[in-house]
Amino acid sequence: MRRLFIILVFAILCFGQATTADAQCKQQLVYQCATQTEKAIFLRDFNTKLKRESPSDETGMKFTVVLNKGTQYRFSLCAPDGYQEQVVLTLYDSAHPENSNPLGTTFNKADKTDAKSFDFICQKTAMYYVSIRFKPGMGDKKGCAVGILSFVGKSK
Amino acid sequence: MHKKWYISLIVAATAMMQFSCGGCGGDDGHLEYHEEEGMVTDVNFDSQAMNEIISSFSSPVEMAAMIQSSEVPFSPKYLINPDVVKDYTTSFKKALGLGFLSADLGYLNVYSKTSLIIDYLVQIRSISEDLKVGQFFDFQLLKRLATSDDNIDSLLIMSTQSYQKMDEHLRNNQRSNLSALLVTGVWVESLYLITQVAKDQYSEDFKDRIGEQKTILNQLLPILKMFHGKDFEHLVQYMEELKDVFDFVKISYEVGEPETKTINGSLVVIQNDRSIITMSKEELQEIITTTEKIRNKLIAL
Repeated sequence: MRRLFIILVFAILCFGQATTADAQCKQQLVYQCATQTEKAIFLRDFNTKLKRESPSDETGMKFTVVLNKGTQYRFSLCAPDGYQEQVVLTLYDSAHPENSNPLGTTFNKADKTDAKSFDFICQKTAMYYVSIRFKPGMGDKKGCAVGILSFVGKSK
Repeated sequence: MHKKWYISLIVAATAMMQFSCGGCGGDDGHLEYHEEEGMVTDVNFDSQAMNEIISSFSSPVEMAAMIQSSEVPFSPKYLINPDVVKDYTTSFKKALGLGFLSADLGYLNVYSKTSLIIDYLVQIRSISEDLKVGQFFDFQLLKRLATSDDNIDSLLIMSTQSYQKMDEHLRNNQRSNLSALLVTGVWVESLYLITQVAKDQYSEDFKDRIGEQKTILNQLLPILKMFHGKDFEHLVQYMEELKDVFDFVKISYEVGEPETKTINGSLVVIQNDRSIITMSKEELQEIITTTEKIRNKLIAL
């Protein structure tokens, strides 16, 4: 009976680890990320699973979002400890592709610096894309990250 | 003794399963659910593409945030009486009604009108339970947050997230018809809010924001046409009426590359692609009148 108990506990722990490692971020991180943006109104979150099986894999997720003309938006990125330097949030559209010429990103490839957020002053109502991925060459483990879209104000 | 251990293990395992699925987006809580006859979808559509479009539509808070940032005073006259949804008997009406109430809840949240919020929370809970998405709407928590002005930011975040989770769950569980109705309800009510504000207090900003909705309507309408049934046919008919008045709006585009600047220590990207809205005051008036008519018809559908 004791052996059965140990096996069951082990099985439960393995099950728990497998599901959480492959899941989106926990609500607590989403909430923390949403509340750290001062003077901006929360609009939605982009909760992302990150997993790279091989170096050539495309990781993360892509989301579609309609942004409206005359609005200043804020895109913020949060990740659990140990992952902050590994992830990147990118805003792009069909004329400004994700990998070559995006509209905005939290990672500056030129000087290799990260920003926790960036604002986007939208001048054209249209559908845009937001991706959250591991940076190239990073992400040897499964993880998660959260993007937050907030309304900063009107802009002309 | 052994029996006690066994029971403890079952409880632990159940808790672990629930905990590990806490952030699983739409994959959790799979429920059997039967839609009314007639709410079936066209078999020849790309459901992933459709879901991408539906998921892109604006948050129930955004139009209200835009109105508030224009320093327009709060007015309860724009809002739906939340009790109206008590008479909704079908999933179709409930999903549309959930969208209407979510947009109004966003408006109340943005203006911190906590005293009025409870009535909306009560009806949203009721509809969301009927639609089997009540598990994403923590009524007790939201009610507690609504009883104090200090928690208004948390209330806005939690209620907006509840809306987002309900919508995701519907899309991820082959109930995109209800998700489409939810976003349609939000969009129509948001359009109604901004048009009513523009009627009372004209500005070029409001005119532009209303005119730009032509772009959204042109994406939403083809989605609604993918679903069959009498209710959807009526809805499409109403939305076509709205499209007719939006067809007068002309949108032209200027192309430009974005600029990135650092302003007060923050990274700011300024888009230089630009859309230009051309619409007369008479055409705007036509949109305001038609939006009011269609919105009221949909409430009474």
